[in-house]
Amino acid sequence: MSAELAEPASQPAPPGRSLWVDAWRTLKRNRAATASALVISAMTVLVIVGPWLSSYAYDFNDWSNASISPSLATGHIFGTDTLGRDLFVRTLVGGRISLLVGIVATLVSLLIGVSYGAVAGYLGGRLDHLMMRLVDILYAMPFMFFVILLMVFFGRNILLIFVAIGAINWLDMARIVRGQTLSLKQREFVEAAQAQGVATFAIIRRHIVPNLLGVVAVYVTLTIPQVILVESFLSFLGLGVQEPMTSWGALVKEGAEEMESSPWMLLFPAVFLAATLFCFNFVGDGMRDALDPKDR
Amino acid sequence: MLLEVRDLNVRFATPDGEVHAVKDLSFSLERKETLGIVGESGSGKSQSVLSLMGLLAENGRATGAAEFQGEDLLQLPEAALRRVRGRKISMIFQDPMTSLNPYLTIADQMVQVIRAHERLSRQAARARCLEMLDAVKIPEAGARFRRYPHELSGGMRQRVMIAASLLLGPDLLVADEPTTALDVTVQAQILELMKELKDDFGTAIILITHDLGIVAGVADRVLVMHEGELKEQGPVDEIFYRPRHAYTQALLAAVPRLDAELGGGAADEKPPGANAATPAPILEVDDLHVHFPIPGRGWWGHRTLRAVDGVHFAMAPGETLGVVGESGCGKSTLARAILRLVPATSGRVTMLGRDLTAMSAKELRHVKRDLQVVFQDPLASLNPRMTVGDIVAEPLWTHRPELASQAVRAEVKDVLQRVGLSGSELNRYPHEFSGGQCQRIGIARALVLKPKVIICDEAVSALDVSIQAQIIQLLMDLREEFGISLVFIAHDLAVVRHLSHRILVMYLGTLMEIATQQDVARHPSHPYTRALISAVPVPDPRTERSRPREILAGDLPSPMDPPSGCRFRTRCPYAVDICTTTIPELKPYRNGWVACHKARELNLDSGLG
Repeated sequence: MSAELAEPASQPAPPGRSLWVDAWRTLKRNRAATASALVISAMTVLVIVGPWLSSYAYDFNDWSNASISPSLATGHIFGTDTLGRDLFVRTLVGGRISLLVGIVATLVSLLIGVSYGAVAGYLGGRLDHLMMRLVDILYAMPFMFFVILLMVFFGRNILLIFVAIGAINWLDMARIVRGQTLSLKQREFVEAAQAQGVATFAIIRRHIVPNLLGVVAVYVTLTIPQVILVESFLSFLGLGVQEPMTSWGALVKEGAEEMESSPWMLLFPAVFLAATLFCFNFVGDGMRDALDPKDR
Repeated sequence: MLLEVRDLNVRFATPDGEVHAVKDLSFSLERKETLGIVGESGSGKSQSVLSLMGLLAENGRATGAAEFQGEDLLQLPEAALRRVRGRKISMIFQDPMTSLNPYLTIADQMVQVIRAHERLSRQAARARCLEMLDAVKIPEAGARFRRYPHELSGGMRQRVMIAASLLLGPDLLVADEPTTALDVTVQAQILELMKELKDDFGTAIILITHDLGIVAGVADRVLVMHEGELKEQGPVDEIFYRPRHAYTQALLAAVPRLDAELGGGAADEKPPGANAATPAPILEVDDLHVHFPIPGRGWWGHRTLRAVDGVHFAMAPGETLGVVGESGCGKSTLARAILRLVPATSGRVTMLGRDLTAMSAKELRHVKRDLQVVFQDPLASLNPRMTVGDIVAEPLWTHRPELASQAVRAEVKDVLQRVGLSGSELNRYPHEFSGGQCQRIGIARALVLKPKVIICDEAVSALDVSIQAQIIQLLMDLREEFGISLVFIAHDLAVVRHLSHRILVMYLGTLMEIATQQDVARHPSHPYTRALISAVPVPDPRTERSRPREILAGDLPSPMDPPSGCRFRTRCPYAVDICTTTIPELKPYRNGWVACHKARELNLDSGLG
């Protein structure tokens, strides 16, 4: 073979550049996503550390300072609610619950949804039909009815919120994952693995799931704000966390009731909630751009 | 002088820096001349012409001058350029499906073309369109006129595109890989049509292609491009018989030729063991059928797609069996059925005396150690999330789990070096490699277990000519070294012939002929084989001009509804009554086997060499 036609020699570059590294670079170039990720990290740290540093406990009633507007003099920098509780601490503690619900419920739905969807999609046939019809049946259950039933049977409990949200959310995840798996199954590298005689679960583990993660990662970042919003909604309806524990949704509800007399009670939790949702959505969009396979 | 291009440069701004796609290209085109632009992928052959038409992608920029009928195309404002496009210069692309609007009928689209440029009544425009459809030899043009694009076959769609592009009587027709998506027999029809139309309409043609054979048959002058640079230009005979540039020479040497003398080459020798008294076949396929149910009308009604319908062969150890046929002939399904990636409907696949079709999944997994596969798309067949080291190691993990990770690494390194890579690629990912390198990785993966049989399903079809030649050479070397038997499946007869001992010709799921590669190329026994050979363009202008052309009429019938009797009869020039009523049996003839009622009477040869 003439040198004219030779392929360019492979440069010795032992450490490989995985698709994740590429995606990470693209993500870092996206300013909105990077800034949002920083805001989320700062928010997380603040929410965890903040309540310890504050001189007030979240359930302490400072009766002499009930319903005061934000002031540095009293140390209530966000003001207090009608029961004299410090709004700064309550907002942060509520943030703990909201973020925790968002992340834990999403992880639960991630775990169930990915394994369920990947198995159904890959094995296919009658099993797939059976598994997906089950999903359809669960989909058909009205969410609020389901939550109210749980409350009636088990009483109000923060754990129930995790269960309720997780139980509904994995359905979406399972459907998305199954759809992706069906298309991945047609790809030649999966066929190559089958032809080599690789065992079924090894194929799912090594070939299907890693290739799903891009889509899943995007979906997860978009699910977290959705779950936070659902929890807020439940709390707003009075079905969420139990007093004196609180969440952003519960705080917004209380704030909305006192909107005219004490607007700060609505303003601070609402700003925290909105900012978090905003940032998660930006990060989600950034991840979608970074992981989009069409770009390469 | 119709078109004169001077110092054309095309640059693309990308996030990784500027890409200089076309460098200082100058050429000219006379009236009624056919100019072929050849090059491999990334040579800038398409971009150079797209830039003239103002059709570059948004991040592209063209500089230089391109004088067309007294106007500089590169300086024209968009509105003026749009008038030139379509009216004076028109274009046809590789995939007619993507250039036709799926929601409009053929009639609507063609009438639209005329009325965008000329004031003409709807009736008059329709009449002109019908005339043009007749000119491109679309049978029953009146009926097809009101169809949607997806109702036509690929060849018909490309004819429609050609008709639409000639509607306004352009002075220049640009054809960008116009036949690449088509089967060879259909390609032959389209090329013949283009030659005739050029004479009838006096249109100059720029034909962009990677296929030197097409250029040899169609072009008057040729530009050879490589990596954005013009390497050589000249009359077609000069380029083919007296190439001056080293790149052109290397390119011509790399093209597998159907008319080549393969004397002394590996492919010409008898397969090892062929002289021994009836060697036990390593792989045997016996009356294999693969049928797929296709949902039809009603809730329960379904039709049957007979993808493979009765294929037999037996392969000696060390032999390479080529399988050729056009799209839809069932060659890939055959490969998948042998590997049991799709279940066989009936028939048997026997390897080393063991029936693969009747095995349990566990036993089958065990057999896969000796039976591996290389797929068509080099990048798609490698998991993008796994490192090259893991990809090649996977068969070892599966079949030799006792191996320690150090030993696995050593084996992987060894096999990577064996396929011509450096062995330092272990931690890198597939997307960091070129197509040829990816295919080497795919071969390494198939080879790492030292299997007895490798099935190559279109393993070189997606590669450029020069890379293709390297991979073919690699497969031939490995075959010698490890004594592997190959089943080499491809649509390109010239490529298949290059490394096969025997060739199996398929048409619509059935076997037409099995014979040695020499016999298939020189003395085909089946009319279909002969037509296939006749359709393959040979990169030799004199041969292309002189050889007898036998152009098959029509398209491939649907495998859902194959013709009765001999499946080839609807396109066979020699068909008689018996062909309609009786399915021809596979009978020994000359040195091979052929399924044709008239093989003996016809006594064909290929007309090559």
